[in-house]
Amino acid sequence: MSFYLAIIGTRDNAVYDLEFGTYRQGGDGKPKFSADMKQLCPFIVHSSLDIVEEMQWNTNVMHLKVIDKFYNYLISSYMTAGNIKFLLLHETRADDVIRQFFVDLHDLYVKTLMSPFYSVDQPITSAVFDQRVKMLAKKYL
Amino acid sequence: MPPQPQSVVSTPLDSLSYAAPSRIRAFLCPVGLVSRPRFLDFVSRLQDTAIIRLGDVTPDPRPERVMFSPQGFPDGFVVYNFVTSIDSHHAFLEDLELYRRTLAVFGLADYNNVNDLTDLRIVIGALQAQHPQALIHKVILFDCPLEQNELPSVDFICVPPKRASRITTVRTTLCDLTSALLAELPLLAKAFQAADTIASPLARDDDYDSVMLTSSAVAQSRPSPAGSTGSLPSTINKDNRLSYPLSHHTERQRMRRKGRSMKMIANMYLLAGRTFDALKEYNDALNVLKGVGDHLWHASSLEGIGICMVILAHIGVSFVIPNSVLPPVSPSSEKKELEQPQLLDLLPQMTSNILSLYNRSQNFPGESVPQITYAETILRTTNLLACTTLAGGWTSAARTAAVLSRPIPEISIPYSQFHHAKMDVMNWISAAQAVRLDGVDAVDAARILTGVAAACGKLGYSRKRGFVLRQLVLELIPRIFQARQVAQNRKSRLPWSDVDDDEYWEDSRDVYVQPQDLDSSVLAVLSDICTVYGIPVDSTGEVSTFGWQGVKTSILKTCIGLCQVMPDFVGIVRYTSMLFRFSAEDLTVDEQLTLMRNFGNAYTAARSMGVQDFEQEYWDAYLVRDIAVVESSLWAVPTLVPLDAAPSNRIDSSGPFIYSPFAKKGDEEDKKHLFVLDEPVEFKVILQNPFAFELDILTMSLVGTGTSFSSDVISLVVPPRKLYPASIYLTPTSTGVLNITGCRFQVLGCKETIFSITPAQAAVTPPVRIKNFGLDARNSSMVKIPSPAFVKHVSVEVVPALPVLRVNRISLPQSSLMLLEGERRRFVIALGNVSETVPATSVSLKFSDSTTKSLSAALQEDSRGESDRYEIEMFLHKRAALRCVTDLNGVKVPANGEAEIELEVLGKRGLTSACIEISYSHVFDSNVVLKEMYVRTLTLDINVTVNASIEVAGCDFVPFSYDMPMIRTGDGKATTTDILLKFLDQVGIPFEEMDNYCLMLLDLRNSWPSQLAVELDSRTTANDIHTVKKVIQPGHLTRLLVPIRRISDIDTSLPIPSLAPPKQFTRSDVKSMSGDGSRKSGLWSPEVERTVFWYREELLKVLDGRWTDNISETDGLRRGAVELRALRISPQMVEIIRVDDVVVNLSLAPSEYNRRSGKYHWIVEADSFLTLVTSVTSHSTADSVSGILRIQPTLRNLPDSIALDINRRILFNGILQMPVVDIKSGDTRRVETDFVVLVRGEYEFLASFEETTAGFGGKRYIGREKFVISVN
Repeated sequence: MSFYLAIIGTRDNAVYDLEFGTYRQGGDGKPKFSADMKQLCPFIVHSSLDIVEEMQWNTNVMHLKVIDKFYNYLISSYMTAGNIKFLLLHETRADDVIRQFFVDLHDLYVKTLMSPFYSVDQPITSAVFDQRVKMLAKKYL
Repeated sequence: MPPQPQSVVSTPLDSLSYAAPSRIRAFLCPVGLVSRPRFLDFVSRLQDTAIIRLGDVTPDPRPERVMFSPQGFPDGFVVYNFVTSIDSHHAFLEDLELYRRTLAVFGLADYNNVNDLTDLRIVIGALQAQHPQALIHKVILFDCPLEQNELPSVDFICVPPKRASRITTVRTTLCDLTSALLAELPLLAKAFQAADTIASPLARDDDYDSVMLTSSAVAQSRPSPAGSTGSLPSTINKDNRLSYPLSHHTERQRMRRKGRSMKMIANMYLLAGRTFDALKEYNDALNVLKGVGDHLWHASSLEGIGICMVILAHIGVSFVIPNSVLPPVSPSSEKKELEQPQLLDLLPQMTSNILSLYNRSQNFPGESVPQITYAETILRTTNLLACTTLAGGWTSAARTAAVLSRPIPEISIPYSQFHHAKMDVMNWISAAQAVRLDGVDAVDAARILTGVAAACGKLGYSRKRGFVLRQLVLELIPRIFQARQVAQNRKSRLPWSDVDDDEYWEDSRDVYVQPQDLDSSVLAVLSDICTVYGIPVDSTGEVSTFGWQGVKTSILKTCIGLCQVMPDFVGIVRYTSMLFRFSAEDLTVDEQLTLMRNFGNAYTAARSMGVQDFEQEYWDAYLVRDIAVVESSLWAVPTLVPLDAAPSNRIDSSGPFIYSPFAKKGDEEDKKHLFVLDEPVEFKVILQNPFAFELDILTMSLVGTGTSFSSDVISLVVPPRKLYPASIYLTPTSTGVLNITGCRFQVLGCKETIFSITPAQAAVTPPVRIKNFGLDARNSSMVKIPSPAFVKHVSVEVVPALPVLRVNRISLPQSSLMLLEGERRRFVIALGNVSETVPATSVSLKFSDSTTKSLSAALQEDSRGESDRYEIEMFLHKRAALRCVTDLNGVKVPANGEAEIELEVLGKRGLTSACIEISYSHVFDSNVVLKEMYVRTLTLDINVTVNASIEVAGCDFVPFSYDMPMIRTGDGKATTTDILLKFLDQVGIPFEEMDNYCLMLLDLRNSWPSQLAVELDSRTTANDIHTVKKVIQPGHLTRLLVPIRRISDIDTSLPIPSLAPPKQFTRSDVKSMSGDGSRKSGLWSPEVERTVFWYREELLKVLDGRWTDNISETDGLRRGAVELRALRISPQMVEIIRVDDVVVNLSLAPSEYNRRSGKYHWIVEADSFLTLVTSVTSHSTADSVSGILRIQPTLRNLPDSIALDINRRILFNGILQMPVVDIKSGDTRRVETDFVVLVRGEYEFLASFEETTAGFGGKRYIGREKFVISVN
């Protein structure tokens, strides 16, 4: 199974994105997207923003669950209080695990946001952040 | 033959609205000479009245034509779908979906351009031949003043001009046409009823009956894209299908045929507006088709029922929902009139059923559903649901929108309800999106995807819409490319590959998309996609921080790809520019080079086709990194000189503070460049090219604000990845301040644009405060580039025309000369004016020389005493090495003329070179008093060698004393006294006055290798000058004896002055008070130093020395001054030179008992009464002096112990010390003391005066000369 994670800022800008695969069922953590799909992932995630924008006023929880689908792919979303969107493209429905993943990711994001050298909407280039996100992915997905 | 209009006029009726299958397709084409705007006007007039109520239509009286008579359902209506192009592409679908068939053909003619109406008859024939499947062919004559009966044929319809017509005129015309059409429909119905077989769209003639086809054949049986079906005339198809032999029919097929023909009739009822009949026919057909398992037609009938119900609901007529469409679980009552909201629930369910039937039909080859039908069914349902969602439910607005494509008025809907409804619609959209487009041709793919996009757009999901449109573009690119390849029969080439060979571009021009078509078509779609993804379409000087960078790059590449296959040269130019502007950093070197090559080709192609104004701005806003003035060696830069007397940095001497930290520093002022009118100035412009390709700049010129100027226009090529300095000239044409703000560029393929100077490329940072989220943030995310904070400009001042001077000649060989120290020499420089028009009317000189630096450095040393410092300042400021002899006020250099200036140079020790700065200007009106003036400066260096001449080796002072031994030697040699007397006689000092003088012994050395004659003047009084002359041999040291008049009246309390501008400093008084030898500077205490300083200054005033080289005549007569400032004097010498402030003189009052043997030597008789007269004279600068006078008699030439014992030798009348008070300056007070000498011998009298004015410890003055009395 392959995943595509994107953190979207307030201006539809990608703050961070990552492709990864599962470690479950003998997976090696590498994404297995086809070349076309690899190119398409950002577009799919981007097009789901319409739904996220609509959902955000309709609920008081941050985890919006699966909000959109594209062929066999599902898009789960999580929205922080500062209107930063976490979007995960995945293949099977696993709301609880994804919620835990998002909550931990939110924790990481807030820590990044507290850095005096980082301001909202800037791309996250920290290698540590990247590594920790990968660890989260390995832990949950 | 009527011309085919090239562009599609957008129909105001949504072709994917739910009720679209109920519309009659009518083809409009221009007939005769009709201009494009006129034609479009006619079309829009017809479109305004596209809905015709059946009640308004006159029924055809013929009995065989009453099948679709409007009287059957007067509330119903016919809706026309006016098209201006023939969709021959979907002809194979016309049997299943009759609304796709063009039933009416209307030629639109402009009566004003019609010459002969009979000609138009041929047109009718042509239309009939061209569109045989249409039921009626009419020509509508617009702006026709004739009555209908005046026309030659019934096929001509007359529409009067707009002015002469009422609102209903066109409607009436259309009603008549509808009547004719409805009268023709029964013929078509009969044809269908009579047909042996009605084929499914995908059925092929040969395999119609072969039921068992492999599933792989299904795909093959679909129509091939773009051509085969489209190129075949549809009539042939139809005829072939209809002419099937009867013998093949089984009972099942008979029922199927019956069902199908019923469905066809139902379709016609639907088109004719007879909705009730249509509903009934559909229902009947449905039952038949269901029974024979004809899924495709069954589903199509089901859809027809849905449409009928919606239309009936729209008209507001109550109707009964057929039982067959109700879900099996619904209440078992026979026929139930459903509430309308329930109808809304029912419709999606029906569509689901339809889709499942369609899916089932896939199993029957030849009977399977075409993709386009399948997709459009979904899209129509989506559309219906979208309408109800936006209208807030099954309202009349929603129904009108669904049936007539009317816009829905905005209403506020409870959010959660709205959202859920939208989610339902989204599910349908996903279903539509999931339709596979593999076997679908370009047109159908475009139709399906635009339908999906439109639905997304309706719901306000613009990102989803953008995504679908991008998919559409990606679908189109290879298809268009393939089509072009087939058409051109060229070797295969990938659409993404570099299309750079010229042939491609040449060929492309044939199929090039005309720019006027682009406004409403492809470019608009692409712009739309770009906007959604945060690429501003018209960004001038702004960059958007909105959007996802990687996605943006990908989108732009897609746009370029589409434009390349179209080919749309303007689009290529436009999107390549945008790609470079927004995503240059994401491109590889190869990509950049390829893009640039294609860009260049597209630009050239577009230009050669005569396209105008399509260029974009150059993409790099930071093109100009810097502009700097290049100092010209040809044109000296003028400077501003203040002319008023007060210096610019005048010090306010009223306070103790000289230094003000707030005062403007002089250095910072003169940063502004000054240009001279009409003189070209060179600028260095630093250009950047961060790209991998060469930048071809066609024109480049400077732009600025302020006064007028003319800039050169240059063209250049900036090499890749370079900061490149370009040189450009500018000529100011009027005076004033000129701000160079940037450059105007025309880069190859780009619009001419002005670029500001941006020394630093600041990172584009989005606004920090977040005010909007998502797409709303698009506008607030625009950031101006370059940021105004980083833009600089070069400010220059243009001054009136100035002359340009050159040094034409100089009277020194190679600008160099040799001098002896103290020598002066004159030379002449000739200045020439190069300027043709401007004379130099004001010339001034400024000198500097090589000594300045070392003297200034010496001055900086802290350890120097004040007198040393004064000495250095003296040499720095007063001993100028150069001097101008000519009166500069009279010097004027006329235009193209010449003038001479004479200068004098002084041989000063340490002088090796000197610099003459000639400042000149042109004053237009000499009467105007200028405060400041612009001057140009010309610098002239001369080399000087200074050799030593006469040097002061040392000096000493000897007082003239009467105490000298007055002996005359016996051998006749001159005694000291003789020599002294002789000397005094020589210099003209009377012997009596001798003690007012002293003698200076001055040692002079001749360091020049030839003899020099020295003359030394000493001013003794105001008029008398004593001159000492001597010839000094080379290398010899000679002592000169110079009489000096002793100096009085010097106020030594004055501080040592300073010639330099005053400086603020703090003085450590503690240090100087500590007294002892700790004071580093100077050997003496400050008081002594001051005294020495002032006496030396006074001494130098009266001395003057000259030397003459009268021997060597080679360079003419050398003469010069002896540098007497080399004199060093000590406090002891000062004592000799000075006249005491108080002088005490002793003498005896003349009497018979005494006689005078010298000035201070008396011979008296013992035991005689004598009077000692003591005179006290004040030379002090103080007003009055008081003190105590003491007289001390001693025995002469005896040791002190005995000498002072005079009590028994002299009797004094009175006391020997007495106060003398209040002696005015210059006055003399006489004190007389009587005494008698008792014992013979020689006595000395000393008188002293101790000043008490200044309190205790006043100065003590002692008589200078010994007063001696010899008693006989």
